[in-house]
Amino acid sequence: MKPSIPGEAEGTHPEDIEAVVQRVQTGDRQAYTMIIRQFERQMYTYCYYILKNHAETEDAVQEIFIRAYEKLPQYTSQATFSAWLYKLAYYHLMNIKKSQSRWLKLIREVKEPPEPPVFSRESMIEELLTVLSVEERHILLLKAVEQYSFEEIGGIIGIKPATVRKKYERLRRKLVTYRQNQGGSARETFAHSNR
Amino acid sequence: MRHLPTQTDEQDMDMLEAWIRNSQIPSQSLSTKIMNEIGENTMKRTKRMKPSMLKKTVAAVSAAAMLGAGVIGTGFVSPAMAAALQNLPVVGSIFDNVDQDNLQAAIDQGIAATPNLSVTHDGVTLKLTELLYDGSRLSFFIEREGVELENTLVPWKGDNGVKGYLEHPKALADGQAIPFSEGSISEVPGAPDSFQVEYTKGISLPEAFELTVQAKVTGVDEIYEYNIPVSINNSALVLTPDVTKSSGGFSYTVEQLELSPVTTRLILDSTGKAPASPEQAGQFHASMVYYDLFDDQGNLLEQKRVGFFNEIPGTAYHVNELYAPVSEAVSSITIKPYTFTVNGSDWSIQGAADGTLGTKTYLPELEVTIPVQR
Repeated sequence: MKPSIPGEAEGTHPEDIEAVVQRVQTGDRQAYTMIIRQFERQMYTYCYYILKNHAETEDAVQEIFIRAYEKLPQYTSQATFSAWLYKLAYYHLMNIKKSQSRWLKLIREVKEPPEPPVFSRESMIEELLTVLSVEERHILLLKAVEQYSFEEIGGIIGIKPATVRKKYERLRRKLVTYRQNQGGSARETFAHSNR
Repeated sequence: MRHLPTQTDEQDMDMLEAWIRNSQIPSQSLSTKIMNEIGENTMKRTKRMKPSMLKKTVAAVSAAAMLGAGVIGTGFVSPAMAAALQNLPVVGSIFDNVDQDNLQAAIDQGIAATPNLSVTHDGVTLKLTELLYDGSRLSFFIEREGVELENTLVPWKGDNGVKGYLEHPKALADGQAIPFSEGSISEVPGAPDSFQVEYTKGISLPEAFELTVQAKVTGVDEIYEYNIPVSINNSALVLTPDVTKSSGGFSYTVEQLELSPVTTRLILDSTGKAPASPEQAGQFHASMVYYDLFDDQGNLLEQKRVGFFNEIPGTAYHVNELYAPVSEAVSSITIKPYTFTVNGSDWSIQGAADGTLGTKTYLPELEVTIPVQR
């Protein structure tokens, strides 16, 4: 059975999203379902490659959308809703990672064995991402998942667009170098999957 | 030798991004779960608030710390504790509920000021924008700039090493810590990068003193310090009516009504069980007795904070509550005691909905009008 991909069946134009946001802001709570469906698949992907754990990703995605709902009265159209939402997600993920990096991580490692490795495109992506710093991962994922411009990414993570560009170029070089040092295994996988 | 990316490398990287974008991550839509959660939260949160206060209260419940016994900021209350207390600050600005005339009077008397003092350390700016001291209540607002964080105050779980959260500030009068019995420190509803510190009870200060506020920001070593000379011409009218009203087994004595240009304070003691209406029976019971104040024109003076407690009401209360100020011309204030009807199974307040804290059952036999003579 093909897994269900949330949000795949529906697509809403950015300008329509702003209208939906306004509806929610004026009290139409149910309209928020449209917003969730529009963004949840990409949001899941973004969170998953940061958190690398499906249970945590589900929790994070839910929390992000709930927080966004609660904060929606504060949203103004200065940034796109999408960028606003991802900014919220970025800070949420940063907070999760920070708390993980302390004692929580130790507990999890003892209690929950890592998910078994599966040879798939996704596991290969995961492996490649381990080469990158947390900030680099965010930049790459925001670029990949939502195809944001450097300016938009800069707005989300709070650094200058020119710096984002530099960091982005550097991280791509890092990935290329890593693949070469891998002695061709990753390259073969790329080539194989590319056929 | 450093490798220069080739066109193939660039294409591979573009492909990697496409793969990420199109990851086949098995996941059911979470929209139903999220919407259910939002529905429940909204129910919980709207029960005791007006629509315009919705956002304020959501922010305030999570962040406001009601503090007592002279301890400010030793720890923020956990969400569970906050939910239990259900103390909902209903302020948006220090000068909320203060009309133009009263505000002018407050400024003239030195009670209200907008010092706008700005201090920057390590890229983080704190600006002390508003200050209020009326002889019994001291409040100030601080705005933060230079960091983008969801919260202003250190989250109850801790700062996790994040730079830019505000820790509890210290307030000194003439170099000495200001003694007090109750105060609050809270994020400011509707102003994401602000917070308010307020000492509401038990402060005793001269009419003129040098106020020093020392604030600390996580990840910044330097202290943010502000020195503000305060000098008020305290014209607060203090009435001590010492009037007692009784009905059934309940009675209360009004000890003090304090009228300043920025606040009305009611102090009273009550004894006995709150009188119950016929509806307040079975699984429903009367809450503790609350008190509404009305001016001589019949205008309700909004209470600054209405506290709900998830417990069977006690039989003795010392009430010391703040309300909106009255105009200089007011000739009397009427106290109208009331109760809410509480569902004992879940402590919910009957009639609570968007726009109302709950249905009030007024107790007309306990009403009293206090004349105001200046």
